[in-house]
Parts: sequence; C-alpha cells; structure tokens
Amino acid sequence: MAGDFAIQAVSLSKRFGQHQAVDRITLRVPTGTFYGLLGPNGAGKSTTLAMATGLLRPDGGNVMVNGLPVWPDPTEVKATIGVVPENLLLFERLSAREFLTYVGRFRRLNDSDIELRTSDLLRALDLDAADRKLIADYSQGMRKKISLAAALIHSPPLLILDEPFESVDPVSQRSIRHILDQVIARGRTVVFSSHVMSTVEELCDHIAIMDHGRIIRSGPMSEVTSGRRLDDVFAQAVGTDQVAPPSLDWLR
Amino acid sequence: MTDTALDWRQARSMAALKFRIIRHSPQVIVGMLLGLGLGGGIAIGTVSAIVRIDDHPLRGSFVMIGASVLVTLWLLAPLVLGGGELILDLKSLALYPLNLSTLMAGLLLAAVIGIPAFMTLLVSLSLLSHASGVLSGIILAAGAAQLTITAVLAGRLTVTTVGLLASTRFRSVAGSVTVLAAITLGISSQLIALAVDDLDLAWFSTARRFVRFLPVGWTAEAIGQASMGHIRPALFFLALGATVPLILLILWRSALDRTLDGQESQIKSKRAKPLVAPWMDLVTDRRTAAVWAKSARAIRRDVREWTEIAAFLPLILAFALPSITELQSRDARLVLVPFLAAVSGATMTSTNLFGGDGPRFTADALPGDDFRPILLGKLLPRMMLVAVIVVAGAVILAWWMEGWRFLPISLLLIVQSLMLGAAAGLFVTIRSPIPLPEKIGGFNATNAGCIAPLFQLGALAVADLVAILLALPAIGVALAVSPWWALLCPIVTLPVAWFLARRRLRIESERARQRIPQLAAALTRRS
Repeated sequence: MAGDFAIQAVSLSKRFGQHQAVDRITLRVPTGTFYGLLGPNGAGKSTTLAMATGLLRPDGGNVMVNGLPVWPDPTEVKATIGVVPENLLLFERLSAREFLTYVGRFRRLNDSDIELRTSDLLRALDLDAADRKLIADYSQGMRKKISLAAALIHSPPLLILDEPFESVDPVSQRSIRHILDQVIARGRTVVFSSHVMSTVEELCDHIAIMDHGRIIRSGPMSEVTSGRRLDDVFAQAVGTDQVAPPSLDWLR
Repeated sequence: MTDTALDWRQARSMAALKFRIIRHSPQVIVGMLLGLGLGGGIAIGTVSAIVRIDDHPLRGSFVMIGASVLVTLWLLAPLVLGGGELILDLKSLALYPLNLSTLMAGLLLAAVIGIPAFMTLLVSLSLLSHASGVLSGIILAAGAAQLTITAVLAGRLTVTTVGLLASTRFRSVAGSVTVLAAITLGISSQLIALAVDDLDLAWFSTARRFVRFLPVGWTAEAIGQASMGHIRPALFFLALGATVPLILLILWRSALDRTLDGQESQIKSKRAKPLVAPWMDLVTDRRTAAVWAKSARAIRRDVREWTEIAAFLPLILAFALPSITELQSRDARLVLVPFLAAVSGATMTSTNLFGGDGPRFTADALPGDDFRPILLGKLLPRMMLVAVIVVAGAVILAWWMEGWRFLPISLLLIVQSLMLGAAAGLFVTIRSPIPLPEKIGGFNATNAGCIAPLFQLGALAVADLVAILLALPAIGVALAVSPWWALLCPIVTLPVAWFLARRRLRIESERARQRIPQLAAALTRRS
C-alpha cells in the first residue's frame, strides 16, 4: 500500500549520455524508518535522491513520495518533504535568520510560525549566536546545519538528506544526529545517503546498498547484515572484497 | 491534483528575496548605482529627444528603430552584464514547492521592479507626447506597455536559456553567444557613433522597412505608425506584436521547466582522450605541458574562463573600428598596427590566471614549489588564442589594405608584443587575483573591488608603452626605408622582449611561491 511507504520507486532509471547512472531500480522506504542509502562514489545514490525529490526528471519508471507521484509535476511532493541536497543550494548572501524566513514563506507558513520555528531551529542547531551573519561566511558544518534547518522548518513527514555528514566536524555531526533522532522519535521518516559505514550502522534501521546504478541489497539492517559488520557486507556486495589491493612495492 | 494556481505571496517573497540579497551585496549595489546614473542619463536624453521630434516627418521611423533597438538591448544585455541568473538562483528555488506560474510571476516581478524596466517604461510612455488624438494615444499607451513587457520577457528568456546552456555540454555555445553579444554591442556602439557623425536620416526609413518584418520590430512598428497618426496599420502591428510576448512566455516557461527538472545536469562524456597531447611534451617540459593541457581544457569547458579571456575582443574592436572605417582610402601602413592588439590582448588575458581555479589552486600549488611551469602552462593557451586572433586580423588587414609587404614585420612585432603583454599580465595575476564567481560569469560578475582594474590598467599602459618603444625602430625602418630591411630590427628587439618576459616569469614565480597562502585565501573568497 502506498501509505506504508514514504518512498516507492519502480523501475526508476536515469542515463547521462553513455553513462547509466540509475538502472531500473525498485526502492521501498517504509514510513517511520531511518533509511540509509549506501554505495561507493558514482553508485547512483544522489541521482536517485534527486529524482525522488523532484530535482531531476527520470528517463523511465516512476516514483511516489508520501503517496503522491513525483512526476510530471513535483510541486505537491516538494511541499511534503524536506531536502538537504548534496550541494546545499543556499542563498549565500542572506543571514541564517533571513534565509529561514524566506524558506518559511516559500513553504507557505504564516509569519508568526516562521518566527517561532526559526528561533527554535537556530537554537537547536547552535546557530543562534551567528544568526545575523551571512551564510557565505559560514563554515561547512554551519552550512549543513542551516540547510537542515531549512529542510525542517515546515515539519515535513519525510526528510531526505544527501551526504549530511560529509565534511562536517564532529561537534556539528553530533547536533545533526541529535536533531535526526528527534525527527525519528516523532514518527517521521529520514532517508539519507552516505558512504560512511559507521554512521549508517549507528543510525539506520533500514538500508539499501547501491552499485553501478542498481540496488544490490535492501531491507532491515539486521536482515541485510545477518550479524556481520556492515562494512564487510558492503565490501562483499560491491565486490571490493574479491579484489586484492596492489602491493605498492615501489613505496619501499 | 496538481497545484498550478499562482501564489502571489510566494511570488512577492521571491521579489523581496532578490532585493534582500542585493542589500547584502555591495558590489551589486555599486553596479546598480552606476546603472542608475548611466541609464538615467540615457533615459532622460531619449525622452527629451522623443518629445522634441514630435513634428519631424521621419519621427515614425526614428521611434520604430529606437524601440526595436531597445528590445534587442534587453535581449543581449543580460549576456554582457551577467550571462545568467546571478541573484535568484533557480536551482536553489527548485527545492521549494513553487509551481511554474508562481515562479514565473516571482521572477517577472523581480525583473520589473528594477531600474532597467522603469527606464524602459519611462521612455516608452514619453511616446504619448506623439499622440495626435485619443485613439492614437490609447494605441501608444498600449504599445508602450507591450514594448516594456516584450523587453522584460526577452531579457528573462536570455537569462534562463544561457543559464540552462551554461550547465550542459552546450556551455561552450553559451560562452560563444555571450562573447558574440559583447562583440555585437561593442561594434554597434562604434557604428552608432560613426553614424551620428555622418547621419543620413533616410537610413532610418530604409532600416525600418527591413526591421518591421522582424518580431522585435512589430510592436515598435505599431508605435511608429501610431506616432504618425496611422491608426489601422498601428492596430495591425500592435496585434501582431502581441504574439511576441506570448511566444517569449512559452519559450521562457519551457526553459524554466527544463532548468527545474535538472535537465541541465552534467552530461558526462565517455570519450577518453589523452590529457596531454604528445606535441605539447615536445614543445616544453612535462610539467608545463600538463598545466598547459589542463588549462586549455578549462578554457574550453568553463564558460567563465572563456568569457573572461574573450573579453578583450570587443574592446579591441571598439578601439580599432572607428580608425579603420574613417579611412577615405586604403592604407597599407595599417598592417603594422596589430601588435598593439597583441600586447593588449596578451595583457588582458593573463591578468587573472588563477581566477577560475578557486580551491583547486591549493592542489596545484605546493609550498616550496617552482611556479614557473604553472604560470607558463597557464599562459601558453591564452597566448596561442590571442596570437591566432591577432594574426588572423593582421592577414585580413594585409588583404584589405593591400599591404602584404608589411605582413612579415607585423608578425614579428606581434610575437614580441605577446611576450611583453604576458609579462605585464603576470605582474597583475600574482598581485591581484580575482576569484571568478561559480555561476556563469559576465564581465562585471566578479567581486574584484577597485584595485584589480587599476592594476590591470596600469599594466596595460606600461606594456603598451614598452611594446611601442620596441616596435618603433622596425616601424620607422619599414616606413622610411623598406619593410624588408625592417626585418633586421627584431634581431635586437625580440631578444629584449624575450629577456623581459623571462625575467618577469622568474620574478613572479618566486613571488607566487612566497605568497601561496595569500593567493589561496584570495581565490577561495566567496563572491
């Protein structure tokens, strides 16, 4: 049933020139789960998430998000999701407070809600001291946090995050994790892509492993790992455990 | 059910967002103030001219040509002034639930509430002074509004289309279009200046007969006819002209739709080519060849680099055209002049060698590293580009002016001037690096402050002076004795130029090596 899944993709495909980025994948993300999309660089994770969030039109297949078809017009779906894209897509020449205010207006929130939520989010993400500073002057960790705040301001049932912990310092990672735990505790769904196994193992209850545009394993974490370490499962799934690394004798 | 209803609050927020971003962008504010001064002057001059010609027998033609030029300027100006959507990034807006109607309304609102649109409306409305009756007044008012809408939509279409092309494999096409637009405007300004000197008013009527068949001329023709009191043809062209904004709207909607769908996403080529062409290794050492190949590739692929390098063309044309076109007869001696274009082109294209590198600069520059291969590798493709263009210009001049005998010495002067220009460019590139903005660059899209242009002008002046001094003996001998005897002069002057360029390369390499942190900080500054 569509309501049981926050994301339901069937035969989803995308090709860039000669490169098949996503190859007829079927993906079902159960509602209320913390779902990790794993894969090496170039596996198709970001492309899949971009198609699910209405940022990239697929070549084939279809994708439903929160029970709504994303394509041909993704406007309605965009209203029900919060997205932290890989390249963040922030308006850099705004302060954090101004940015969240405009995002709130684009999300059709009323002014009093925008003000309340902006203050709460800035406090929760430890950005309140820098709320008047331009985003252009933020560190990478602060930029990820303000992007997360923008994704949360309308309290969406589904949060989609592309590499949220990449290039983020441990302190910012901690506050992002804390926020995501709260989101899950309130029955929302979080989907994020990563290639950091330890983070995924720690946070997620469901995972899918992608490689060369295909999903090669998916399901509840316990089912996919069957008691083994996630990085071993991952290495086996993408075939890197078969390949002996070169010995680099010349290093001596 | 798909949500297609226009949400005015969202649209207003987009316009407000644009002005909020501008508030935090001092360089944009300075640009706007300059635009206000310049545009205001032009608008006041145009309005006064329109009012003064209200009884001129050719006023219909003047008005029609003027209005057509106005729409064309709107179509081309975004290419030169920005080359893409610089303030409201469509990709960032794509994250939010803004349907196409709302997005278009917001972008239009943001464009209409601005100095250029206000000036256009002001100029258009001044045409009401030509009204000979109520009906012609109504048509003129409708024409003014239609012209303003057409102009704004034309500008929006250009901005979105170039933005779309600039992110795809068509980025080189976008770069070429940008450069062609700049050249067209450069040449046009010169031709207009020439035309004013020797104005044949009948030309307006001839041009009008041609332009009214073009879509940019339809609403303009309606205004021209109405200003002459010709109601029927005015109504016909007003109706015909009304189709233009509709077509522009459809095209713009389609371009926006494609941008929002991510269809401009990177299209990767699978063709594997060797990074360094074998002949590059033969010409220079391996490290310089590697930087050369990488730099040449960046110039081909990165529209920001492309436009910055090609910016010298319209400037040179703007300077050269009046002198050439004012000649009453052919003058073979002009073939000796292109070395000035060479020195200017070489200087201008090499004053910001690291501008497009951004954070990648730190990957190329290792502390304690020898910078000569990096500087030389970046200089070579630029010098080759300038050389090809200037040599082509010299050959065309030799053919046009029947001055083939001056071509050999001219080519040698070009070579020595390229070296001098490169030396001057190196001086600026290390002292005043300017990070090119991540989005498609226009000629004014950098956050350069005022130091960089001053350095550039100073370097250009010195390079020009030295190039002239070194060229004078050869030019003197070529004119006074024989162009063939003049070929002996570069035996002395070429090594001098070579020495100066080599010495500058060594000095600036050393300076760059000592200033790696400062260079990296300047290049990674966000604009």
